[in-house]
Amino acid sequence: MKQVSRRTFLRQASLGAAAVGVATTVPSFLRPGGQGGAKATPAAQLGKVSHDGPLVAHIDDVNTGEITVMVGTRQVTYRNDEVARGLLRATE
Amino acid sequence: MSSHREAPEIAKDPVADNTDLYAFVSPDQPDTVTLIANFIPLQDPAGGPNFYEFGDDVQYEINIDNNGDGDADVSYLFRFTTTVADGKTFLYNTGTITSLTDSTWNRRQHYQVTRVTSSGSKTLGRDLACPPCNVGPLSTPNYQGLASMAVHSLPGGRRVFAGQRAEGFYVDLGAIFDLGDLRPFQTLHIGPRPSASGVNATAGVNVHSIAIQVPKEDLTRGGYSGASASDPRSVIGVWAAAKRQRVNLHGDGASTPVGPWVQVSRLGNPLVNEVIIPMGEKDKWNGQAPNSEARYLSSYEHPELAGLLPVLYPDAFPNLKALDSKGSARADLVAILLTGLPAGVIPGFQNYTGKTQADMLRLNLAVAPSASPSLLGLLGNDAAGFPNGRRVFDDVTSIELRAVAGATYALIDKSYQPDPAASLIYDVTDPSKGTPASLAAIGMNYLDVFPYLGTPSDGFDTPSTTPTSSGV
Repeated sequence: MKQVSRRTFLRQASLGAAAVGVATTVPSFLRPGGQGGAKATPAAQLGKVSHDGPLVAHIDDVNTGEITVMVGTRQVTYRNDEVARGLLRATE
Repeated sequence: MSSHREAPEIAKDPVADNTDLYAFVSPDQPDTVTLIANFIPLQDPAGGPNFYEFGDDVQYEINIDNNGDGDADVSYLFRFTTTVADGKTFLYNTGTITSLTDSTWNRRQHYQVTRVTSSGSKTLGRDLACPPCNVGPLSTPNYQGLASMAVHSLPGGRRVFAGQRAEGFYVDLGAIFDLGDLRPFQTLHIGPRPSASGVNATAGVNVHSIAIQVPKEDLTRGGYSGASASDPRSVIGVWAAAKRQRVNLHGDGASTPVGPWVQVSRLGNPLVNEVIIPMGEKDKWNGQAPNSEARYLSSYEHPELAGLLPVLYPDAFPNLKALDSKGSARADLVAILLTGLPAGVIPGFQNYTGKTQADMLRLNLAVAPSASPSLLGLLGNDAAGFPNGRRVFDDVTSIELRAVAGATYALIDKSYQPDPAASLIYDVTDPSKGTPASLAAIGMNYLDVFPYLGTPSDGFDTPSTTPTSSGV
């Protein structure tokens, strides 16, 4: 039997745990073949976007449906119950 | 401290922590005003290899209200950019730094200055070099020379400097936060201690300063020259602020800010958020505009410290105790800190900005610099000092201690007799016997020229720990 040192055992165990974690935390509709339903829209159909940095959406209370979107130093708040709830479902 | 680590949240964010604000008519250029905002408190000069620097992700501001509404009419905005020449070395510098362009200086900062008014914004300077930190005699042997190279001329007769300086604020931190152990009444404390000299806790520590010197007309309403001290246009209100973007995304060894600028630090008068504003409000206070001070009015009218002094020193402040017991609102403190002093309170002087209550450093820029300044400023009959603006050497701790102790209440109630102790109390060194030059004895050194705050202590000669004994 291959000798397993305490250090290599810990490394293997943590890698395995990480793999399990990935499998269980990625929302199903983001995984290939998942049950999320929505098909990804090809980028070309969304139209061109010119911003290179990140976009952050913040929802203070999902029940209000208010979504604050931040890009660069700009911020807009709009209401979309469906998107707000969809984002919450994506985290489940 | 003046405003060093004064609120729980900003204490965790030193790069954005506004520690002191100064505004004064430049003594060597009396047609100009110098504004200085300090950040990054209590720097250990030896703190390498990642020496102190401004935040690339922070917007630093010096704001001026010139019409009394507590809103900014003129703002100077400062944004910094850090560059690393060689990312493969861990060193801040790979040799002696003799100029601001030396290749031996590995990590450096440049900045942009923008002036904003209701008419729009104008970039006054870009790619302006900061000096390095004062590492030590092998790395920065001519630090004064490097600092001089970092004083930049801007259009319109303006000058600017941004970089490390010696701390200008002095305080006996250990004593004042040990249940208000103040001089010269240590033997009268409820827990009496032997009389002892003050210990300046900020001797040898550094800070990062943003200093800008501008013609008076740059600041006043309608470009008024400040010819008359009685003219309301001669009075400006000043505050500094630091802003961060609302979100910071961390990961992969970097952070990416996103979203609108949000104010995380604010400073007008020294010690306000430190001593006047209660713990549970300090962080919120930092995020608000200076003219939203009305919600904290009761903290100014009934400062906690005024009630504590008679408790800590039972025999020293009987009149203050009686005043406090009556529940008298401290209109003197409200005037000094929130509206300025109207004409007629102190003969020949006013720095009144109107009824709007706002925490701003108020400067009547028509008052000429004093040839023999008093560390007690206006309390020392020197109208060129705090609370008329603030000079780098003003003993603001002792001035505010005396004011809170009742020394200024007679300004609004002639029948009130201040306790003799109110005119004697001090923190580190007796300001009535000192001069700016004499503060060298407690480790404070200032310059006679812009940017006025002294040369920062260097890391080699100011070690952070007690040297070990020989052979250890």
